[in-house]
Amino acid sequence: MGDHFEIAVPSRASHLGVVRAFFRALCEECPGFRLEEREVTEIQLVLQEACINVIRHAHAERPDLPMRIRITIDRGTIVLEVHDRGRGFDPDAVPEPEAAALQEGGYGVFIMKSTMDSVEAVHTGDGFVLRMTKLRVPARREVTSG
Amino acid sequence: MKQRTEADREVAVLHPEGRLAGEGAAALRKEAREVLGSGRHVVLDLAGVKFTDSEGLSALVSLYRTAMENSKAVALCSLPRNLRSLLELTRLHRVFDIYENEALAVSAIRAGSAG
Repeated sequence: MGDHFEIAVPSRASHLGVVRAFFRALCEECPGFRLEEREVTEIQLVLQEACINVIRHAHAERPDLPMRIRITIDRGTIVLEVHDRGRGFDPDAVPEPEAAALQEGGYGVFIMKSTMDSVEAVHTGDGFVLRMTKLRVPARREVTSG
Repeated sequence: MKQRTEADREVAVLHPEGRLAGEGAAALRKEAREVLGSGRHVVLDLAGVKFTDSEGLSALVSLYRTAMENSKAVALCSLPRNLRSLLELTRLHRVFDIYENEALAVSAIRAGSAG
């Protein structure tokens, strides 16, 4: 079992920076969270897209409702869970955007699914959780000769 | 997001800075629409963009569509690595004409080989 970290923020776009900063702070302050800068930016983007979905859809009419972001990390995985009070959606049912057709929307879920190793929909008693898991590349062992 | 625009009679160079997301994406849409409405081609120098999300991508596609509707060209240049990766991930890199720097992008537009 890894360590859990959790925040709850109102469902407003003006608070997305808090979510990004939360994840960056974990990476900078917690020894077990050391990631490459590229990975930090990728996961910040995934969190941002998941929260934008909550703001636009699940809590569109009730921005005062909190969205809860729970992050669990251990040696092998990073798990991001975004909780809301909406009815949820099936990420597998969201079609890939067609860039060649100059499609303007639909990139958010695609970014989440492409960046993470799994994206699961979990319906709970009081809402919905989007659970996203990324497998971590094991730290390279030092090879010594002789 | 800050934004600086340099324009001559033919080409406007936009320099968005900061986050191409939320209000930043909306500001880019507005600025680009005004520039294209004035009859200029657009070069988007993205060197100062630190973070881009799906709303930022949507703004870029919207800019491209508006340019096509106005028979104008759009070229991107000086892409930060994370934005280049995002365009490749979403295959939008096949849509845009992308150049290493502003001078190359402006030259391509003037030569009629961009957008």
